Amino acid sequence: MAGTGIVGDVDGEMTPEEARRLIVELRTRGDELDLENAALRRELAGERSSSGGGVSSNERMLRCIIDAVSDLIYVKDRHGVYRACNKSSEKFVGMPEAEQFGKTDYDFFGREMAESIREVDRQIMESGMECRAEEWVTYPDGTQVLLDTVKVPYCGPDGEIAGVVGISRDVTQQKRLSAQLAELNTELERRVQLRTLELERLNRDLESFCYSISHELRAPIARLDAFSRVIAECAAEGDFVEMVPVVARIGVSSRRLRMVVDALLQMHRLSRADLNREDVDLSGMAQQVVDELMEESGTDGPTVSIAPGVTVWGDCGMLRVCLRNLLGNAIKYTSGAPGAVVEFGRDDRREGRPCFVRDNGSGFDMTHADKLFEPFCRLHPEGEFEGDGLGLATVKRIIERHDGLVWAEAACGKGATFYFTLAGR
Amino acid sequence: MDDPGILLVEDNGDDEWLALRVLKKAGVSQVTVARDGAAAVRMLHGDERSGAAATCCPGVVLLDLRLPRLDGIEVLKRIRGDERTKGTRVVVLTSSEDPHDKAQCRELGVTEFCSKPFTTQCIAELGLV
Repeated sequence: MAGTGIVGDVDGEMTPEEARRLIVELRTRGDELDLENAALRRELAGERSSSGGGVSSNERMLRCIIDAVSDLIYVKDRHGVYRACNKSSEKFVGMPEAEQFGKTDYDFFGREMAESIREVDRQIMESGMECRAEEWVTYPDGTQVLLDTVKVPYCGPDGEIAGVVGISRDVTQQKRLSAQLAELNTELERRVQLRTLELERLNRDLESFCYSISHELRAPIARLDAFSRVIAECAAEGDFVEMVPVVARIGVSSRRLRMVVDALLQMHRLSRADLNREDVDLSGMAQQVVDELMEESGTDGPTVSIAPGVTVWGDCGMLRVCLRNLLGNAIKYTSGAPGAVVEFGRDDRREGRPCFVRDNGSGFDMTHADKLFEPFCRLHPEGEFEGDGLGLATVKRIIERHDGLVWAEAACGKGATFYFTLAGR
Repeated sequence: MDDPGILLVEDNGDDEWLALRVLKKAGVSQVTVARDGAAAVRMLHGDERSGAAATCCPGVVLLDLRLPRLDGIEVLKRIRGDERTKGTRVVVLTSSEDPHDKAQCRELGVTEFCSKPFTTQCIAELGLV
């Protein structure tokens, strides 16, 4: 018999002794194999515990990480069927993973949207390239969100593309805030530009005002200097007759200088003083001012008509200065004219219901109306009508401090009307 | 030849009085006075609306800049813009040192300035007599 003898002569007959020894050896060898087998089993079990058992632990760890991510993570197979998603996705869609499993985009979105998504997925799977895009998504409940989505293809065990993994971030709020921020920035920029223009305009006005002041102060001072020289010349020539009118002119020039300085100080005070607004009976105030002006002029003056019941909200002291200048001008420019009339009232038919001071005096050419409220602007020759040149500029400043508007309408020889509005309470 | 004289454009009575006194003392007798810008232009160019003819053809215009009705710069533009007066000598009388005013005058071809009030020294410097 062909065998796999361990010992002995295989060709000859086995003696009983040899057979017994063989049995013992076989048993011993069997025991050894059992031991080796057990050792191998233990070894294999040990390897499993250090590698095979870790696979399930890694899966749990990975799952934990994916669920902790605030972005929406989901997996779709080649047919667009949802196979998995994370907790954020469950929360966002409002549906547990088990329910989402097996559904497609057609179950979540409208047909057009679902087709668009499906097309993108198809392109990713065909090209094997990742894709990133922002898109507005509308859910069946009408919720609209802007998702910033990255999609990548994933491969199965055979190395073939098996579907897409999507990671979406809801950037709706972020986008809204950034749009709001851009809007605020634009608005801020616009306001800065406006403010800059306004400041440039104010600087130009201030510069022009400084030159005007310099002119208005230098001119009478230079005259006083010239008159003093004339007096010196007259004294040297013994011409005392000419000296008399020169002295009178010095007096006039000095008073004019003082008047301009006082007017400038008043304007400065009005620009800085606190505005104490209250209800003001402008009709009553106009009557008081007219009485004062008539008393000061000492002449009969024009017929004055004051509409009753005009009340405004403003600073009593400033409004008195305003009315004094406007009514003073009206009385001045109608002085000596027969049938002169000065009116104060409120025009309810016009927008903003402006108050007005109207006269039928000499008026002025409207082509110069834009300069009317500038400091030291005169529409009549000096001496024809006395004034400090700051009356209307002061009126404008007072009205502007009340957030109102002031303007004039006139015609040469046909009188003038000055309108003003004041901001309401 | 007739003395073409001087046109003094000045709205302030004191400055007018001082200038006339100085010119009279210097022997200038032919002086016409305009008390605002519009009046000066009417004297130089006449008045189209009323059909009035020009009444003054001066050799020199002494021109204040701050004038009612039509300011000095505008008067200067009209003088330079009219064939009859574009070559007329203009001396600008000024109390301020406003560089804008002077720059505008130079642009309009005026380079002679005189600080107000008008004095004997001005007459000598400008060689008006």
